[in-house]
Formats: sequence, structure tokens, C-alpha cells
Amino acid sequence: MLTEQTNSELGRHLLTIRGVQFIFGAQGDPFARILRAGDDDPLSHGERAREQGLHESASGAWVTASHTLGARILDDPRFSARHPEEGPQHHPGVDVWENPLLCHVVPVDDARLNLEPAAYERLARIAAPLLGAGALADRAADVERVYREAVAAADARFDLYRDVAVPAALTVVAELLGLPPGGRERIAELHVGLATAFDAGHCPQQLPVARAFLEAETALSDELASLVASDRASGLVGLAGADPQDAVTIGVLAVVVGVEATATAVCNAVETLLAHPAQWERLTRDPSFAAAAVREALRLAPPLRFESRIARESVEFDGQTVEEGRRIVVLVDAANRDPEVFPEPDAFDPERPEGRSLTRTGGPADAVTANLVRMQTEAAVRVLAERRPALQIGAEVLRRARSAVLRGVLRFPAA
Amino acid sequence: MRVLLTAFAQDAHLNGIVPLAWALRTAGHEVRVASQPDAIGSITRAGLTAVPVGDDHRMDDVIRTVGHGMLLHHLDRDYLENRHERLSTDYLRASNAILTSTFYPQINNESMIDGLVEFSRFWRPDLVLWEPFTFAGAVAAKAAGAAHARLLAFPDLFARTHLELRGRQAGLPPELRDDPMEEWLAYTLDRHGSTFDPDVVTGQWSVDQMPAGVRMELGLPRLPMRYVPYNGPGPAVVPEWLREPPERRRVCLTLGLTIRDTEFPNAIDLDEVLTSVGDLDVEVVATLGETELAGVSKVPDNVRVVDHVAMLALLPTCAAIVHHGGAGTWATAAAYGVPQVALGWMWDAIYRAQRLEDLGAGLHLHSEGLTVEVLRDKLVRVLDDPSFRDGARRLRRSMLLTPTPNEVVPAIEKLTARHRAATAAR
Repeated sequence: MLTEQTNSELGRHLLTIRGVQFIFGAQGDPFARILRAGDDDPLSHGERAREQGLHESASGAWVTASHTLGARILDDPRFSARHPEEGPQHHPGVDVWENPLLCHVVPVDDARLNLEPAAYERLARIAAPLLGAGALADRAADVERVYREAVAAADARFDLYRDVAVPAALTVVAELLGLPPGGRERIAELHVGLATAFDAGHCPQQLPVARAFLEAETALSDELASLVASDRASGLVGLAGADPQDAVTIGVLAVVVGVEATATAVCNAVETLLAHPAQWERLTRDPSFAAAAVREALRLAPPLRFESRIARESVEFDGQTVEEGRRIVVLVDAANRDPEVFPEPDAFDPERPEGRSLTRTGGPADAVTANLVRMQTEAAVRVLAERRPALQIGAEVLRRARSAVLRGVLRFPAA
Repeated sequence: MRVLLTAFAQDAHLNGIVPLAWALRTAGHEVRVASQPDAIGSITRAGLTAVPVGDDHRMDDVIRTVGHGMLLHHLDRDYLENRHERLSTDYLRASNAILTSTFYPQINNESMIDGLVEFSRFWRPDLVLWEPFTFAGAVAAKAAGAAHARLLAFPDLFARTHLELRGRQAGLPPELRDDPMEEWLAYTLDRHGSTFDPDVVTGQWSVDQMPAGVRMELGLPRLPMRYVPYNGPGPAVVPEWLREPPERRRVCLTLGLTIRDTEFPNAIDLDEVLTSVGDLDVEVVATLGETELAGVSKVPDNVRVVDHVAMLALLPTCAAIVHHGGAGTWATAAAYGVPQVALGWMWDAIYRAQRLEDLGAGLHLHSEGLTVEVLRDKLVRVLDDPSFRDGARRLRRSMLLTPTPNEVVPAIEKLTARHRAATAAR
């Protein structure tokens, strides 16, 4: 979104919310500690949050780390990414000293991350010929080729995020959308700004980073609209009966989620598998193990550490009422280790029953993008295990600053 | 030269810039003192020329809402006792984020900064001297091409925290350097066509009124200056009872002025303080306001309660002082060689009190540890053990050897000329 706000207005808004998060964190509030995105282990805050049950954070959100509650919330269309008011979701000028409204720190509307649950369901149906499981399975060989080429092009010592995961995802998405020549390079430029899409709405970014995101999401939306209008994104042309606006939304989500969430999933999955050498070794022998390995790795290290929704009706949970209009947060990483559902929750066990993990690689848009992220992540670990079976982490993996949701990767030295 | 001094509207912080403002004026310079409208009375009562800029700040609203969390983070002993090298980078980052979002931009509200810039561009000062939290002064100096320096009346602990963080972050990849202070000052300077420079945080140099042994060097250029007490803005009047020598040893008891008009919580139980002095063979002069007195159950017979008396008139007659740990009270007692029992629990109060103890000029008592017995014991020690009187006198002598405001004016003139020339050359 290109906001009307001056640098001073936006800067003050971001800094104030950041400060309030730190202050609530100092008072011991687990969700505020997570939002601070400090050096401490977010899982320890999730543990404390679970001990408190469904509770109201000082930040004004209801918070749960329970798997049972989390599953109900994420599947319930009464919990939406947005408030009912039309227009971009943003609360500038709210006097946080009177009423700390800490959601929608900046509008992520042009990135299409603020739609209603029903809209995402509808878009998933429209996008099925492009992003559905079957459609993507038909292109599995193409996707695998892209990852093979990226791994082949990497030096002996390489950065998994920068040299493999991001470039490969950019190529996959550009080919899928059928972008015209130069299109891949253009989304690569935009990706620099878009990488913070999942964080920017929850954890105030530094002013230049926030500006870069807001400009990139608008540019992406405008440029895809222009391509769709002139039938130059061939992958989107084929979506039978799609309203041009829907086609643009699908294209935007493929870029916003399909690149950064995928790259984070690839890095998280590889990091987790390398921390369990027996599992990595099994993968090097058995490529068909990739699906189960990725599923379990992303249970332990979900690319989106929490999901945030707005209650659009008052909903009662175990005697507590989450009132209409309130924010509710599911701590996915903690819920994925809820001992009530996962025996020995911290153990890597690929034999666990399917369908339990609350990991949603696309956040509220997951219905549209889940297959795109999953199949790329599986291809990436399969190719890496095959081509670089002795893969090791070369030095400390660095995560971005103020990345409370993604814990996005800055450096992933591998060899 | 034209010298613009500025401090955000709070008397304790304004007081620290007054004596140098006088010295510059009587040296023949043009002097203006700018602050939010609320402080104009305090500035003119000090005999200075006031420039109201912007709207009043809302610090009290902010303290009421988030003051608890803001203080809570800053109760770490390593922070309070100046062992910042032991604090984690995460801690330093949190401190920076909290102060930069909830404190500094509140007392340097945008309309105040913009008003100060506007006035500076009109009046064209050669030098802007700013109270160390009033970064608006540095912004205005940059915008108007003036030299600028900080004028410190308390230990430079806050700059130390920030420098420690910047030092740690210097070794990190640029994307991991996170300095909200720089972020805030950068967009603020940008609004006025300037860019961030680290001297906006630390001044091109600093005039420092802390005595040797309390002053922090931090590798920054410093001009030591004697602390000359000014205890405004209340009227400095010598009452009848202060014109005779006390019959018994006199003890001053004060909790300072800031507690009366800000929302910072008071952690000191006055009843305990009064009880602890009640049965001593001393005459106590307690400066207590109406609200403070309202919470007191009994005032002992040996306590004279006054609403206000200037410390510079009272302290030369005292054998000891018990106080809350504030900067002005601490420095005034030090300047008159009065042994102190300094309470305190937040910000720079503990460091200041501990240095006092190290210098043998008094004792520190953490406000949380205050009981009738402990306070009485500490007060009796500073009264009866002559080493404290000697230590306090040593501290006074070292302060008297520091150049007075009048004596530092020529150095300030030189530094201003040099920095003006450097700016012009750029």
C-alpha cells in the first residue's frame, strides 16, 4: 500500500507499537515477548502461553497455544484476517496510549493477505487448474528440474536461502504464472521488499523496510493487473471464468507466498533434518521419504510461527468468550508441540498420523497456496539429499531482525 | 554569539542549564532558552529569555499508561549500577526500543521539534546547548547549521547504554543492526532536510557538570564544568529561621520536586523516613508538599516541615541530608560538602548514590531496603563518623577546582567557532 503517511507519521506509528510490545514483554506477557522477536527462544514463550490456557495478552489479543483450540480457530470461518470494515486494514492515528490496537501494523491488503476466509476458499477453487494438487503434480518434473539446476549452479559452499531456495522459487513461480521475458527478474526485485509481508502486519519493521514492503506490494499488484489485462501472464489466462481481479489476486499470492514462505520452509526443513542426521540419511537413500520428512520437519519448525485472526462474531471457548472484533492468535509452533496431541512432541517422528500439524505455510491464504509451497519444499529437500548427501550447515544460520512470524532467513551457510 | 539553550519542560531538567545560561549572558552573548509552553514560567523566573516552542508534551499520559513496564525493564542491577558491558545485546536493544518509543519522542514531541527548528532558522544561533534528553536541540542545530553540544547535569548513563549497543552492533551484518534511536532521529532530521549523524545523539561535545569520579568519559569530548546550584523554579527566599545557627545538628529531608508534578511512582514510605529520624538528637527540616503530607500519619516533634526552601540556602547549615536520590539534590549537597544518605531505585539514582559511597561522601540506601532501623543506622553513621564529613568536603573541594560556568565560556566560544568553521567548510 502506498500510504498517505509521511515518514514521520509512519515512523512514529511503527516505533510506538514496537515500544509498547517491548513494554508488555518486560511485564512478562508471552505473546508480547514473541512479537519482540528477540534472541530468546520463542518456543519457551509458547510453553508459558500454553500454561496460561486461552488468555488475553496485554497486547489486546486472545492467545492460545493449545492444539485443540488452534485447530478449531484456524478452521472456523468466523475468524478472519480482517475486520468487517471495507478498505485496507490499518489503524494509523490510533492513540495507543489510550487503546493499544496492535494488529494490522501496516496494511498487507495489496499483498492479498487480508481477505475473508470465504474469499480464499473461492479463490482456491478458481486457482485449482494452476495451484491445485493435481495441477502441480502434473508439473512435478518441471519443478524438480528448477531445483536441480539451482543446486547444480551452487558452489561447494553456498547459501541455501540466497543461492538456492529463493532463486529456484522465483523461477518456479515465474514459469507457473507464465510471466513475459524479464518477469522473473522483476519479481526478484520485488521479492526484496515482499519478504517481510508476513511479518510487517504484526511486528513493526524498521521504517525503510516497511516502506520497501508497502511499495513492493503495490507495485506487484499493479504490474500483475496490467499483465492480466493484456493477457501477458499466460499461466493466469487459462483460469477458466476467472474474474480478472481474481486472476490478479491468485498471481499476487503465488509470488508473495510462493517465494518467501517456500524459501523459509525449505530452510526450516533442511535445518531440522540436518539436526536429525538419521532422518537426513534416510532421505538420501529413499527420495519417496520427502513428503513425510517435510511434513514432520515443518510441524517442528513451521514457516509461520503464529496465525492471527479477528473474531467476526463472539465465540465461546470452554466458558470464555472471545468477543466480536477481538484479535485471536494461535501460536502454531507451540500448538504443534502440544503434548496432549503429540506424544513426545519434541521428537522427530515421521510416522505420526497425517493431518495433525497446524502448520499453514500461507497463513490465511493457505487454501490457495499450500500445494505450491509443499511441493516445492519436497522437491528441494529431495534434490538436496540426492545431489548433496553430505550437506552440512557451515556457520550459524542468521534470522532477520524483527521477524516475529517467519523468523525469516538472512544467511544460511551450507556446504 | 547567539546561544540557544533548550530542555524539555520539566523543572529538574531545566535547572541544570540555568547557571551556564547566566554565564553566557553576562559574558555578553545573546541567550535564548526554548522549551514547551508549560516551562515558560520556570525559564522567566530564572531571569532568562524564554522561547515557547510547539505544544506541551504528554509524558505524564505515557508514564501513566506504560511507566510500569518502562521502569520494570530498567530495574536490572547491571543496568542501574553501570555494568552495561554485562548486559545482553537483546537487553540493550529492548532498552533502546522502550526509551525511544515511549520517552524521547514524547518529551521531544514533533510540534516542539518543528517549532525549535523554525525558531533556529529564524534566529540563526551559533550554538545550541541541549539538555541530554532534549535531542530536539541537535535536530534544530543541524537544520540551522549551528554548532551543538550537550549540557549534562547527571551521569551520562543513558548515552553509555546506547553507545554500548552501537558498539556491539557494529560487528553485525547491516541487516541485523537495529537502532530505533537512529531510526527516530533519521526520519525526524529528514523532515527538516538533514541526515543522521551519531553526534545528534551525543553532541559535538558535552559540557559535563558531574564531578570527577562520577563523570563518565565514554570516549566523547567533554568540557568539565563546576555544578553551581540553582534550585528553581520555586522562589529562593531565606526565611527568618535560617538566619540563626541551629541549636542541634540539622538534617535536611527531601524527596525532591519531580515527584510532586510527574507520574513517576514514589517508592519511598514517608512514615518510615520520619519515624527513623524522630528520636534522634537532631533538628530535621523536611521539605514536603501538601500531597506528600497527606499520607503522613505523624510528624515527630523534632521535624520542621516547610513546603519549599531553596536547597542552596538550607544545605550550608546542615550536618547531613536524607533524600530521594535526585540529580539536583545530590549535586547541591555535594557542592556544599554535606554528607548524604541517598535513597533511590530507578534510572541514574543508584549509580550516583553508589559513587557517593565510593567517594566516602555518604551512603546509599536502595528504596526497597528502606526500614526505620536501616535508615536511622545509616543517618547516624554519616552524622557521627567524621570520615563522611571529610569525604563530603573532599568532593566539594574537587568540585570547587572545576572551572566555573564563567570560566568555561571562553572554551565554549572556541569550540563553537571551530565546529562552525568545519560545518561551513563542508
